[in-house]
Parts: sequence; C-alpha cells; structure tokens
Amino acid sequence: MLLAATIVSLFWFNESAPMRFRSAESLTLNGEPVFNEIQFIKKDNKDIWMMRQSHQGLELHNKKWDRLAIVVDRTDKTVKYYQLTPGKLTWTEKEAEVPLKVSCFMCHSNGPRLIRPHQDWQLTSLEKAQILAMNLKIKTYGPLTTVDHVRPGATPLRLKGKMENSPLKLARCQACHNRDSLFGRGELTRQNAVTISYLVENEHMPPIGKLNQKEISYMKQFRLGLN
Amino acid sequence: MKLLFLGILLSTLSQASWANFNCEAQGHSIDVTHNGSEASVEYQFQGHSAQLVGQWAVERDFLYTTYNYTLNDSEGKPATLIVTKQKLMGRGGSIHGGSCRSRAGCAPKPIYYTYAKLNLNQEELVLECF
Repeated sequence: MLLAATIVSLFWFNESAPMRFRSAESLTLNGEPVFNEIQFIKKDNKDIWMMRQSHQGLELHNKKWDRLAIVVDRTDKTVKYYQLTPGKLTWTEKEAEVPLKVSCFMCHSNGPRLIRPHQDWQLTSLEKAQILAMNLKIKTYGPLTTVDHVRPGATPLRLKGKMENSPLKLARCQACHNRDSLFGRGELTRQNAVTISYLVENEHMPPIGKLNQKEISYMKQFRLGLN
Repeated sequence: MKLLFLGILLSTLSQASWANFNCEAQGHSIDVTHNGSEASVEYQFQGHSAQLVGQWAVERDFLYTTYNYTLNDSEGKPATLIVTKQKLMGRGGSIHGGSCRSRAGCAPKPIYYTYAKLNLNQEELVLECF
C-alpha cells in the first residue's frame, strides 16, 4: 500500500499538500523541538521546496514562522536558496526576501536534503508515501550548481574561505558526493563538516556500513581543520 | 598621541591574548609561544621534553583560524605543527546536538574550539588546546 502510494506520488503529484512535522535534526538553543511545515510545488521547469519553521512551538502565530524556499531548476541543474518574509507556503517569482539567518550552504551542499521527521511524530500513510517520493526525487537530482543572487543582509549563502571550501577527500563519501556521476550529490567541503558529523554520528551516513577507524580519524581531523 | 598609545596598547593586549597555546592529550602536552615570526614549542611526555623552534604563519577564514608551524628540534630534525581554532556558530552546529539546528531565533554567540596536530619523529598527535 505504502509502496503503491509512493509510486503514484512520485509520478503524478505536481504539488504536495502542506505537511507539518517535528524535525529529527533540529532543536532550539534550549533543546526544545523545532517544527517544520513543508510543501513541494512543481512549476514549469522548476521544483520549489517551500518550508516554514517554528522555533517557538506549534502554537507560534502563523505570521511568525520563518519561511524558506529552495528552488531547483531541472533544466540547467541549478539551485537557488531564499529566506522569505513570513507567510503562506506559496511561491511566485517575486517573493519578498529577508536577510539569511545562516549560510544555507553549510547544511545544504546540493539543494534540498532528505526529509527526516522525528521518530515520535505521527505521520499518516499518505504523508509517509509523499516523504518517500520526495526523498527519492531529492536523491536523484544529481549534482546541482548553487547560484547566488543579490540579497538583503550580510550573511553569505556560502562561506568563501580557503579552509571552508577544502573538499572532503574520503573515497567512501565521494562515491556519491561528487560532481561527476549521474546521481552524484555534489562535493562536500569543510563548511559542511558539522552536518556531516551529525549524519555520521547518528548513523544516517554512510547509507551502507560504517566508517572504519581510519576514516573516523580523518573525519574528526577534517572537522577540526587539521588535515 | 592618546590614540596612538591606545592603538599600541590594544595591539599588545590582542597579541598577548592569542599568542600562546597550551595543548594536551593522553599525557602529551605542548606549550607554544610566539616571538614575532618565530615560534617556540616545548613538548612533554612522561617526564621527557623536547624544544622545537621555527617559523609560523596564520590564515584566517570565517570558521577557521589556522596557525601553521615549521619546526626543528635541537638535533635539527624537522617537525610540523598545525593549530586550528574552529568557530561553531550558535546557529547550525552540533553544539546543540544536530546539524542544521537552530536556524532561526537563537543567540548567534559563537563557541570556539582549538586543536593541534603535531607531527614529530614520524608520530602524529592530536591535542586539545586551552
């Protein structure tokens, strides 16, 4: 049933229903849960991944949730990132932007990342199917080129330093995280190190097997800036 | 004149605040001191010590400040040392236990960690600095 729903979702949906869930990865500074509301919209040659996020619980007024968008152009394989004024999960080319609160690229090295709701959050079968379909779509984009644009505020989309852009050179990771293969997930750099560490420590990555001691040692030094 | 004095004082204080490192791990320790472009490193382990001297240079990025040392011991054997100060932002860091945590609304106060890697006598040591 779930598989059938996933397949139907994958091929037929142009726009998902808004889906609200507790984030598995995010916590507030005080360790409280962070809530996301996401919606996928397909428009012409673009996949638009909209998200609203609350760091102040589900009761936060609708107009105070952060609103973000990642727009993937399927034709030229580019990706753009936006932090928008609070509002609905809708998209037009003229959405009003606000300054980035954090450099998107530190966590999003290749566009949208897999959607990971918290294990305690109850999802309907349809929502599970939609997440599976969306994650399959995300996994099969192939390498995307990040395109920046003139935006308000001083926080850069991507950090520019030499150290911050030195690539992760671990063959096991590079097998997927490269810019050359058809379904490559883009190159990982040192500014992604905190995210990489989180995914490795929580056994999301690598998807098969575990890092050996030598790889763990390399990864630690990579994060600390020692190699 | 007052401004010049203040400038010199601030410069001296700021140099004094970052000029030295004390790092240790599993009984190994190093004390790093700087004097202009020259650096002196005292390495200690189980009562033995070695004095290393050489040159150093610094590179600064937003997230990382890296000190690179090219050293020799008293017998002229080469050694290398890297000391890296890593900035973890109050938003988006494993300091909160996750990867993209606290995207918004959290205090942007950064936390710093400093680590050193010493290559000496074909041995590699990673030490935490204080």
